[in-house]
Amino acid sequence: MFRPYTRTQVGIALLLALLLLVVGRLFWVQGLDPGGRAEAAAGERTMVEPIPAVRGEITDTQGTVLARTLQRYDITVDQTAVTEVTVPGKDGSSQTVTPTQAVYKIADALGMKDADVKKALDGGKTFTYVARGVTPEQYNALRELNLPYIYGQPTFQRSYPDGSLAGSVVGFLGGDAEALGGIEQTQDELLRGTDGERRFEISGDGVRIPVAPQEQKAARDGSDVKLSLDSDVQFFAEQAVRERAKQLKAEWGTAVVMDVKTGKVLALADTSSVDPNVPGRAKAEDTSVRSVTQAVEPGSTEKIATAAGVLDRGIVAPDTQITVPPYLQIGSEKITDAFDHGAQNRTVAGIVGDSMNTGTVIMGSKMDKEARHENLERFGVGKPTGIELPGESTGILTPAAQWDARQEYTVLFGQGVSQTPLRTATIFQAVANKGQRIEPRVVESVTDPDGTVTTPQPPQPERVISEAAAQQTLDVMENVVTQGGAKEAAVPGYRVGGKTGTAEAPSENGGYDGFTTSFVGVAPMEDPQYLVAVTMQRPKGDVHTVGVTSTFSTIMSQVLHHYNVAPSTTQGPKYEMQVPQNLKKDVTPTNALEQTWPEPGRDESQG
Amino acid sequence: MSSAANTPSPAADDHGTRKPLSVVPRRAPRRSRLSTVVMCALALAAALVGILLLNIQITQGQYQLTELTGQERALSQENEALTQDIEADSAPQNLAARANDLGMVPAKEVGSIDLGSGAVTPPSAPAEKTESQNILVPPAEMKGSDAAEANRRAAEERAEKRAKEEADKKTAQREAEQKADEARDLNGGSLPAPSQRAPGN
Repeated sequence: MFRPYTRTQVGIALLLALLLLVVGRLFWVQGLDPGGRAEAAAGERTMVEPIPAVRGEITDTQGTVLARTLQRYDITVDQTAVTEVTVPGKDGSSQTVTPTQAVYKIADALGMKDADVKKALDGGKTFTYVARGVTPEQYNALRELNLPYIYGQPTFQRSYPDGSLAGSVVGFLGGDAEALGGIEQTQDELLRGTDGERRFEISGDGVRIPVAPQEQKAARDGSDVKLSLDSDVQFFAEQAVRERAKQLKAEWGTAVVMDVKTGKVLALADTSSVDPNVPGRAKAEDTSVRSVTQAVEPGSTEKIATAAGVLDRGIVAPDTQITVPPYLQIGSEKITDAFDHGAQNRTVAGIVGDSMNTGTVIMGSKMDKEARHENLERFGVGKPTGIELPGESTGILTPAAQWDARQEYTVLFGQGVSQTPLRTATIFQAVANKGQRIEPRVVESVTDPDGTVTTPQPPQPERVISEAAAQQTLDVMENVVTQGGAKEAAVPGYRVGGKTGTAEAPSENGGYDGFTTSFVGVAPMEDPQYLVAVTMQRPKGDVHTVGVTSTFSTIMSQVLHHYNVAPSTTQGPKYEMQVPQNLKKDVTPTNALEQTWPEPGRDESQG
Repeated sequence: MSSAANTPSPAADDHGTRKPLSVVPRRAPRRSRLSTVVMCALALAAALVGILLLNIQITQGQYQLTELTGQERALSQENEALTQDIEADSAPQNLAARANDLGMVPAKEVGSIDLGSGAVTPPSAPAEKTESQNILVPPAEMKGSDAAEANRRAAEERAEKRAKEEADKKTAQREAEQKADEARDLNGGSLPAPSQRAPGN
C-alpha cells in the first residue's frame, strides 16, 4: 500500500541527493581531476626555487682569496604587466604608481640611468633583464617598491679582490657564468659544483605553508682551488716587470717565479693583464698568460742547455780551453758574436760568461745533430709543460733531419727554435734541481665542499743531465754573474747564477723587427731554491741597454727576502774567463770546429 | 544518564506494604540539559581556541622563521660586503700604494743578522727617502664594495697628482732653460752667435 512520504522524509532525501551531487562533484574535481584544476592549483601554490651551487673559491698559496662568489640578484621585468598599479606602502596605506614613476624609482634603487630602465620596461616581452648582478642592498631597496611586475632572481657574482693582479692566471667568467680564461676555465668542473632545487607551497600572501609537503634537492657546491701562486711575490714581480717595460716602451714583458725543487709556480707576471671583474674591457692579448701562450726565440739563455749537454756528455769541463776565432765560417754560413773580438783562448765558463755564439757552436757541435736535438728535447723544448692554464704554446723544435745548414748551429744558442718563457724557465729549473726536470704546476690543492683536501699528483721528475753535470752548469751560470756580462744580476748577500738572452723578434711581415731580451737565474747557488725568469718583448732602444738583468735582481732579491732565505756564506768557484797564453794560433774561422782539446778528467767532473 | 542512577528511586518499594505517606524527599537536583550543552560548547570552544592558538603559534613561528631567515641573510650579506672591503684594502697593490702615501719607501739594502756572531750581512743601511713609487698594478674594478671604490678613486687622484707634478717639472725645466738662454752673453745683440760644429757630430 502506498504510503506517502512525509514531508520530512522528502526533504532529507532531497538534501541527501544534493549532498551526493556535491560529494560527487568534489570527487570529480579533486579526485579524478579531469580538467587538471587541482594540479593547476597545486602548481600555482608550488614554488620551485633553484638552489644554485656556490662556485668554489680560488686562493693563493697563503689562502688569500683571488676569486670569490658573492650573492647577487638579476632583476627581470614582465613587460606585458607594466601598468599603473596600486601598491601597499610600508605603513599599510596604498599608493598608485604609474609606469613613469616606476622608472624613476627603479633607477634610483638600482643606481641606473632613467633611460636604460625605461628601455627595459618598454615592450611586449614577458621576460627581460633590467639589471644583472645587483647587490643585496640594491635588491632590498627595489623590493620595498612592491612593484608586481619586477622580479629578482638570486644569482652569484664572481668577485676578484686583486683585480688585474694575476688576472690572466685566475681567469674570468663570461656573461652566462661561462668560464673563459685561466684557472676558472681549466678547473671549471671542480669549481662549478651541481645545482639543486627546492619545491614548496606558498599561500596567497607569499608565506610558505608550513604543513604542506616540500622536497629539497641540495646543491653540491663547487670545490675550492688553491694555487701555488703567492700574491705578494706576484705583486712585486708585476711591479718590477711593468716598471722596466715602461722604461723600455716594450710591447710586453713577463716574469716567472718558480720553486726550483718542486716546479711549483709562485708568480706568473704580465705587463698588462685582464681585470677579471670587468673582462669586457680587456684587450684580447691581455686575457692570457703570455709566459705560457707566447712562444719566442729564447736566444742566449739556450746556451745553458747546450753547456749542460756538453758537460753531461763529458765533452768539456767548465775550465776546458777552447780557442775562439773572431767569427765562424761554416760553409756559406757566418756566425758572429754580439761584440767584436780577435781570436781568444776562452774557457767554457768564459764562453758562456760573455755569451759567445762562436764558442758555443764550437763546443756544441761536438754533439752530433741528433744529440743536439735530443738534448733540447730532454729539456722539454718542443713540448708543452702541461701547466693548468689554457692555450699553452708548445713552441717549435724542428726535427734534426729538417734543420738547414744554419739552423743546426743556431739552435745551440737559441735561434731557429721557439719556446715559451715558462719552458725556458724549466731548463734552468732542471739544471738547478740536480739535473731533474719537474714540469711546472700552479694548482696546489683542491678542497671539496665537505672539507676533503686532495693534492693533484705532482709530475714525475725526469732526469735530464747527471747531478755532476748539473753542478758544473750551475758553476758556469754563477760565473756569468760574478765575472761575465751580467754583473747587474747580483743580489747583495746571496750567490746568484743565471744567463742573459737576446734574440731577434720575428716580425709579422717576415724578417725581424726588434728584440726579445731575457734573463733567467736561480739562487742561492749553494742550494738553489728559487728561479726568476724575466722576458721583455720588443723593448725600444740600443740592444746593449734593453736588458732585464737588473729587473731579475730586483725580483730575486725580493723573493729571497720574502721567503727568509739565509744569506750565502760560501764562495762560488771562479774560473778563468780567458787563458791568452794558450791561444792556438792555427785556429781559423773555417777550421775552428775541428779543434780538439784534452778530454776532461774524471776528477774535474766533480766540479 | 549517569545522573539518574545516583538518584534514589521513589518507586523502589512498590510491591511491599505500603509505607505511610511521608514527604517525598526533595529530588536531587539533576544537572540540567542546559549545562551539558554549555559544557559541550565550552569544550568545543576550548578545542577551537586551542587549535586557533596552535595555528597562530605555527604561523607566528613561520613569520618568525621568515624574519630570522631574513635577518640571517642580511647579516651574511653585511659580512660578505665587509669581507669584500677587507679584501679590497688588503690587495697588494692597494697596500703598496697606501704605504707610499704614508711616505714609506721600499727597503734597498736588506741585511740579515747572524745570531751567533751578531754580524749583519750584507752591510745594511737605513732606507733613504726617494720619490714615491708609481704603483703600476691598478686596483681591482670590483663591484659592490665601497673600499674598492675608494681605492680606485685614490689611485686616480695619485695618477693625476703625478701627471701634474711631471708637468710642473717640465715647465720648471723649460723656464730654467729659458733663463739660461737669456743669461747667455749675446754681445749686445739679440741672437746667439752660431756655435761651431764639434767634430764627430
